Amino acid sequence: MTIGTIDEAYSIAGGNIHSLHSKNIGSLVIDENKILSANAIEGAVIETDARDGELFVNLTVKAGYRFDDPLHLCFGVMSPEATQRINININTEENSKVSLRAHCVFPNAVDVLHAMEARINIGPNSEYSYDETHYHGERGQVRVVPNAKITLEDGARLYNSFSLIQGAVGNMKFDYDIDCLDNSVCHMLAKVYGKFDDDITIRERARLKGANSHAILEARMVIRDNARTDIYTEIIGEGDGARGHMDCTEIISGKTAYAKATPVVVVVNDKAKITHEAAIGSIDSDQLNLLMSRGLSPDQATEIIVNGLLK
Amino acid sequence: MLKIRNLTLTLGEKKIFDDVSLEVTRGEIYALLGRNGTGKSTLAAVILGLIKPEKGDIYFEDELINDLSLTERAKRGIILAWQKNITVQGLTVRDYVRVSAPNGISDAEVEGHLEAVGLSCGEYLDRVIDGKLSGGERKRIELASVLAAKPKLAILDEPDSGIDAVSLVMVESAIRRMAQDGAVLLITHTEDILGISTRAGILCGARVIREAKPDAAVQYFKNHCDYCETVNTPRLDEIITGSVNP
Repeated sequence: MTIGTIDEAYSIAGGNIHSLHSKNIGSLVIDENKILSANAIEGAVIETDARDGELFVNLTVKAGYRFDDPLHLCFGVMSPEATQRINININTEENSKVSLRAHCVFPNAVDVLHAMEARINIGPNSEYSYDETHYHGERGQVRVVPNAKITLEDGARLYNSFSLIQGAVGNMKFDYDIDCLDNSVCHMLAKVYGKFDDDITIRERARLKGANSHAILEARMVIRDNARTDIYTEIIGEGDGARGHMDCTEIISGKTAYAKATPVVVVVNDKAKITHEAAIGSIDSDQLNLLMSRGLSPDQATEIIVNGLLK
Repeated sequence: MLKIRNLTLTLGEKKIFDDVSLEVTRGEIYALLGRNGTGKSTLAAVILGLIKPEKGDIYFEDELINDLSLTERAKRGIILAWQKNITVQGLTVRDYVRVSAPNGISDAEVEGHLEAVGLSCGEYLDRVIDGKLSGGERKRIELASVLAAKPKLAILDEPDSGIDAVSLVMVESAIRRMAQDGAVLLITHTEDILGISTRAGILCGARVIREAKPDAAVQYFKNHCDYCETVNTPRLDEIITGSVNP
């Protein structure tokens, strides 16, 4: 089934269309390499440019502006075959607060490449939250390649959530590098349901340079069929009192799915502490039995367990 | 309502049940009393179909249920309040009580079941069931989910463990209500909750060695079971996951 409009795709991915069309809500809508709409609001400056088959986006949140309501972004490709390249700079200035809610939709993809280069600077004592939901259609014939260099300045806070639960994934390769300065806090969470021949690689590296900087790198995955995941996380503890934790939980189903988790701990300061845990396995039989003892079928029980992990 | 006939089960080299028979009739709270490791929870697992005995029959409402699955037995109305805390990530109290109800229930009904076991619903509905809840709270959430399931036979495995004296009064009242609508098989190794039972059986040395009124059963248990042989049953999860083979 072909999805006709970006609004429709946005809606399927869980977005509220009203937020893309209201003058009072900051938003940006992109289809392929075209800006469909950009609505800046006071304190949040959005600049865009398209050249050489690439989109350039600058988003600046001015110092002291603190938004309680999220700004909405929609990056979509409606064509079955296309390449979307986005080069994005995000800068949150001192003492600002912003939450971005992004939906990336490629509902009709047969051969689509979505490539993003992001540089994100989270200013001193500012708070930045990025909640990204993807929908790649039911077969997921998409290559998604986002690279991000993120810096958290002194006292900055970052909460980044990535979710791809509906439909298939396709081929996805994340590569995020995060530098955390003094007293900054970073929490990265990825939730993905891989199926068919999905190929998912996530590489996240947090360098805790600053004193009392904190990072949590968290991944929750469910994979089945011939899907494969390769989750590489690394935290480097450099600053006094730096604290980091990596947590990867994966449910694997079937004989041909493949899951690999590699948490890497590097500590170069005896006042820093980094920990990790990783668990990969089939659906827990105790949990299955608990739910089946309430009259649920094995499939219904499995669905609840999977949804709970990806919630 | 529940009839167990000539049940024999050996796990590894240990005889867990040796020709055990017992019957729980409609309206009764039958307490199964026994020391740690005598196989009480294993008997619950057999009734649920999680473990297949080598010999014996289980009848529920006169139907032979030996070949029914766990799901099918639950649909017939056999519902277990699990002894151990099992965490399903992300599952809230509301979710759990709701999935237990056979035909779906409203928030108000969920609240009613929580209140029946002494949990103030506003506080608990959206809480994720995890290690942040105390043992007593989790036990009562488990019992609320059993209430929601409207069991014909509620099997309650140590339902009083970790529950304070005030809440226990409400839990006992909820258990009596379950018995009014069906029957209760109450598994316990302490005498604290035995007072609500109508009859008790003592499991000892792979057999039900005596059935009596609760007071008499407790007396017999105290006098005769101090040194009675326990069979040291393997943990249920070891049996179910196959690390110990029947």
